[in-house]
Amino acid sequence: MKSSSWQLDPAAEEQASLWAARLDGSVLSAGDRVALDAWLAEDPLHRRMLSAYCQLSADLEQQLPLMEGIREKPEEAQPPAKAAQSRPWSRWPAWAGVMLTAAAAVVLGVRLSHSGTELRSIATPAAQRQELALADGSHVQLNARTDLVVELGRSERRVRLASGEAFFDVRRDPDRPFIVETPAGLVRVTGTHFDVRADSAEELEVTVAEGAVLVRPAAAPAPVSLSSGQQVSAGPDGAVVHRLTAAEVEDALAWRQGQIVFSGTPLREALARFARYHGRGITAAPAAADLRVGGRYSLDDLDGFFAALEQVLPVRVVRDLGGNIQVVPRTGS
Amino acid sequence: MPEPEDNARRFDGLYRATLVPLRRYLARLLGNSSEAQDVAHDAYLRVYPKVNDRSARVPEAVLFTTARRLAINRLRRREIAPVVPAAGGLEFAASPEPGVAQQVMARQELEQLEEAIAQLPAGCRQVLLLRKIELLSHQEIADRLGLALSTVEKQHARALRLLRAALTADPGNTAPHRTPNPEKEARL
Repeated sequence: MKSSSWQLDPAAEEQASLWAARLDGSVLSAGDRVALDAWLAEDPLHRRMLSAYCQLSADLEQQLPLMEGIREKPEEAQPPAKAAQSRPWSRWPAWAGVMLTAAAAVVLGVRLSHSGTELRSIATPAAQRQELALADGSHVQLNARTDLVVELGRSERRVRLASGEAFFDVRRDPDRPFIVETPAGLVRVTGTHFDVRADSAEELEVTVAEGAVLVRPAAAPAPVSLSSGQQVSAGPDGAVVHRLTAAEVEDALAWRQGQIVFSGTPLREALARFARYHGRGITAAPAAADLRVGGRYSLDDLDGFFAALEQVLPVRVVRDLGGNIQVVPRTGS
Repeated sequence: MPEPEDNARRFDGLYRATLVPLRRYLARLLGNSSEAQDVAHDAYLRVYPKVNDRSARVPEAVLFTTARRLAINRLRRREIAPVVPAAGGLEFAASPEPGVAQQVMARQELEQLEEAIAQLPAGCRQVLLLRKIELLSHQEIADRLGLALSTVEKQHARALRLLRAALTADPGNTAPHRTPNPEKEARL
């Protein structure tokens, strides 16, 4: 029993859950707000309990629609299935050959064939990665919360990366260039291994693991040619090319194994990567934003990352009632 | 069984026709484009199965309604935080407990969550799903089910309690019988 002691107070537990429910789905009157404040003032524990329930509530909104088994039969009780066969995703339509991994994290898979064009829209939910094989023999790995449309035509292969991050292993075909379009620019290759990150509409980061690519940042005057081991970061102010060691390339691609590597990274940026992956509000207070973070972390283990931060840096992690998380300077002690 | 190709075409058509206007609409509602992008993403994920099984007669309308409701929930959550007086500074929110939330988010725990939901009492589950999946407000749920508003609120609260209890239980101990429940079963 590692659980907190507040479970010993069922009345408070009930109040906390009721306030969380009402904050979520009802309209509170001014009188209700006063009552809520009074209840919160009674005991510091109340605020923590309410915060935990509000988070749970927000997470349920995110998770439940993605659970196929639950959506199907809301009226009936589900038999407690064996863990091995109760994957909520398993009933997703099987587009033969599309899915390489078992946990069908790809939620929109679309395949069309007319006039020789194959077209697919793929999106991944929070905290899930996905790999898929294209008909031309290329492979794409998608990071969490990534939107991608693939169009394989006769004269070119085109991928629209609306947002998120993907790693491409492109089958060489000089007659059909492979083009990745992002809001902040284009990447053009014939065959190679490279990573494209377009977390925001203004920024683009391309890392080449093998071969050569041509990047055309929307804001840059001229295209940038990159070869193996190079990385370009492009934003509204232009583009900067870095040369990476083999180890640094590996680090940049660590997300494919569900990991992330920081090296002297500003806390603000490190948190933004986790925020992006989990689809949550995770920010640093201004006074903590420029602290530097290093190390290798599991993307899925948000609590582990926060625990490490609190251990290494003079910060603490606080969660508000809206499910947002902020890292603030630790005062005193 | 609808044709997968056909569904694919329907969904792709919807996606192409709506992506730009939907994001613009959401950006106006939310006041920033990155959140608009997030909500649009979530809305497509939710609408996809409905296009697939053809339960939505006007998918575009369902998409925009879903997106609007998701945006409203976000706006509400933005509002919730300031409700809390910042008396103790940010200290108030310090959570020594590794939130149930994060545990749930971990992929492996989805199965546990699914099972916990399956074990909710029927009324509780129905209210929870109408709120979280259909995105109906408590008042709308009360109207639809012919229940008092306070009953809906209590059912929702009870679902949260039962799920939290089930999800914080010792994993070795989530036998298919009774989930340990700290509260006395309050009957409605």
